[in-house]
Amino acid sequence: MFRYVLKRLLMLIPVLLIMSFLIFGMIDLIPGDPAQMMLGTHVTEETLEEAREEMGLNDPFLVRYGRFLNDTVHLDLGQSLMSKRPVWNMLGEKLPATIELSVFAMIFALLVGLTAGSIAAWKQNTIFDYFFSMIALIGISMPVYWLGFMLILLFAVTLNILPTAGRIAAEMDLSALTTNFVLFESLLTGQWDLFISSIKHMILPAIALGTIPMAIIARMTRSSLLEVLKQDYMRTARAKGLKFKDIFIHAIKNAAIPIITVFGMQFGRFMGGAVLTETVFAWPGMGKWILDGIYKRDFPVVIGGALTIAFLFVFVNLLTDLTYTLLDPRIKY
Amino acid sequence: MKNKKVRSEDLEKQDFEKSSLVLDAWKRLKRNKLALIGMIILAVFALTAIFAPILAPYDPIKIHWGDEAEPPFWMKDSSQETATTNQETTTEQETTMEQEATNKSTSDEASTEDDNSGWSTGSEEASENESSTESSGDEGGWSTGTTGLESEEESSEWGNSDVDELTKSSKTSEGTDNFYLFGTDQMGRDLLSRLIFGARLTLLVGFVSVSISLIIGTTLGLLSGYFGGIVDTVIMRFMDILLSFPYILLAIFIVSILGRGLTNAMIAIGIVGTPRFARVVRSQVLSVKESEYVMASRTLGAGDSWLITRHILVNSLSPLIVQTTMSLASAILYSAALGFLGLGAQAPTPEWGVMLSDARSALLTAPWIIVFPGIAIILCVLGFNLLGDGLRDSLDPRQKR
Repeated sequence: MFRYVLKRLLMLIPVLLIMSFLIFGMIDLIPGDPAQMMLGTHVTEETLEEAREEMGLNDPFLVRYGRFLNDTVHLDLGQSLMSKRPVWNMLGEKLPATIELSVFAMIFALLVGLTAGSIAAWKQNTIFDYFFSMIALIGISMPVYWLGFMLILLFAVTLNILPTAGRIAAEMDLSALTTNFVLFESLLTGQWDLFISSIKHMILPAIALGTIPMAIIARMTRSSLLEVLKQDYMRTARAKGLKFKDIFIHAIKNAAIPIITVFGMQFGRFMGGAVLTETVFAWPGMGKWILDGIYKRDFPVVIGGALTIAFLFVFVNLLTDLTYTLLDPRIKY
Repeated sequence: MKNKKVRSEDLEKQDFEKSSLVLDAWKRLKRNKLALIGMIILAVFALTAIFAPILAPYDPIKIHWGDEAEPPFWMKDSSQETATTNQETTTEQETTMEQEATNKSTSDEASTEDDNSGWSTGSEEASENESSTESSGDEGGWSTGTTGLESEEESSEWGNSDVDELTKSSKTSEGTDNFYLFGTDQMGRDLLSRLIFGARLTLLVGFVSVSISLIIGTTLGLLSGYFGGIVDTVIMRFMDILLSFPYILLAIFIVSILGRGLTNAMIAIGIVGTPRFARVVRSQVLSVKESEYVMASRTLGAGDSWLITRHILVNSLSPLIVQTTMSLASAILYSAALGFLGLGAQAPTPEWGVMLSDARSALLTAPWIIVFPGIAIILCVLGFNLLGDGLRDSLDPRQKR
């Protein structure tokens, strides 16, 4: 097991290298002159040329990539062209916001998806099954941002019980917090007013972001449970007269592998969905940050953000693979 | 097309059996009610797209001055009928939402034309109007007594064109007697016409981008699966890396490189969708390649191209059909998302994603502008998903009962 983990970790290195090359290359291809972006339009050609020289923009592609790689390994992601702040520091602000959002979206997706999928499978071809299957189908057919707007219309505007945008009420004082995990930290340190405000802001974006994964998990749970329930050992379990709870645990454990795979694959969807969800809810996270970076041609921000997401993605895939062994002792590495 | 050919050939040759793979699949598909619903939805969308110029009551990009943000017809009508139709068509919450918005927009315009100018916001307006019948609580007022309020309001605002002509500036006089089934957007363009023409664009984007993925993906998958070795490794590793990036983000990057616009959005979505096809085809090729009939064919002297086109490709057809249907659904979602982010189709184009993006500013005042394009997207995507599910069940021989 340890050897396997080590091997997988070593294999990450070439993958990440290729990814960094692709990301750097792709963003390099985006038209736009960073020097111009940084200095604005009211500068002379000489000043621009000087700035380009200074930023090393005139060097060949591979030289620039090499320098970027060297900096990245030393945890220096450069400086935002717009705000002039180090990308690394901005990342420390944006990433926690997206992680908190993703965690809550995941909790929502898992709780609702597993429950709905299990009920649908257990009561196959009943009204429950049709209802949950239909909900799941509509869920995977829904544009995330549209759902976001509908949630805002319903809960924020009509019922007026939840806020429309942002992470926390504007008048809240965040100076007492050391990290940007507003919700987690306020919960752990017991700052209840902060916690209540941030959890209120969390609900709608988390539902919007979690709905598609919820629907996918529900569908996967249903089909994979149905598969397991047909097996002989399930019939045996029933024949033995096991209690419903025991049978169910028996079944769900055997159905878990495809569900976990699907769940792991949802990570990319969370990051992609975050771009849209964060745009709708003005959530100050990675997705909106990268998107703004693209609009403003702030290349260091885009590269830093994209690289972080790719890194996380690869890492989550590894974790997903490793959970298989924990769940199914038949799988050995 | 290929299916039809196969089907007719089989019918001629195996008349005694009256059954073929495709015919069987079709029979099973017909029994699947959900798939049928999907097909009906898609047929409606396809017909709408084809006959868009005939069906659309107005030019989708023509701006009707003075008719900005007109609500759908059932929200305009006075009397209690309004409330019942409303509750039938939309959920109750949405209804109150829309009514609130109507009132708000009404009050905005009302303040400029008659002596109601004292009202500043929608909520005040409501409580004043309803004070005779309802309690003046903000939310309570909204959800209940809107009917009476509407009848008063609407007759003065929407029904009476004389008042309009007298008080409003010249630009308003022409528009008011037009009939808009789904209302107009905040620029005064007919929403229904835009939705109808949007169906065209949406289906076009779907088919073009999926064709790109289909052609490139199938080719790569065939090469990779058939030749194996270093070709396989290089192609599939590259596909893995493409897959290990959030779809929408990759599409955003590609569009940024190529430049904004509908064509580039289609290309981007096509590229992003490629790895799925490559994987499906590759796995199919790997299993078919080792089968006896392929070996037999090879020993008889069949070349690579013969084997690929006559055996391997034909056997990859069913998973490819399923994948294509499913990809159409996601391509439509992604193109709408790109349009929404301002990277796909551009502003006056009646594309559903662009319409949603335009309607953002009108979320509070005219929610119908944002509700309808979303429903259109959901229905269209749902149609493809239902059909895809049905096709998967009916084309997969393992599911045969």
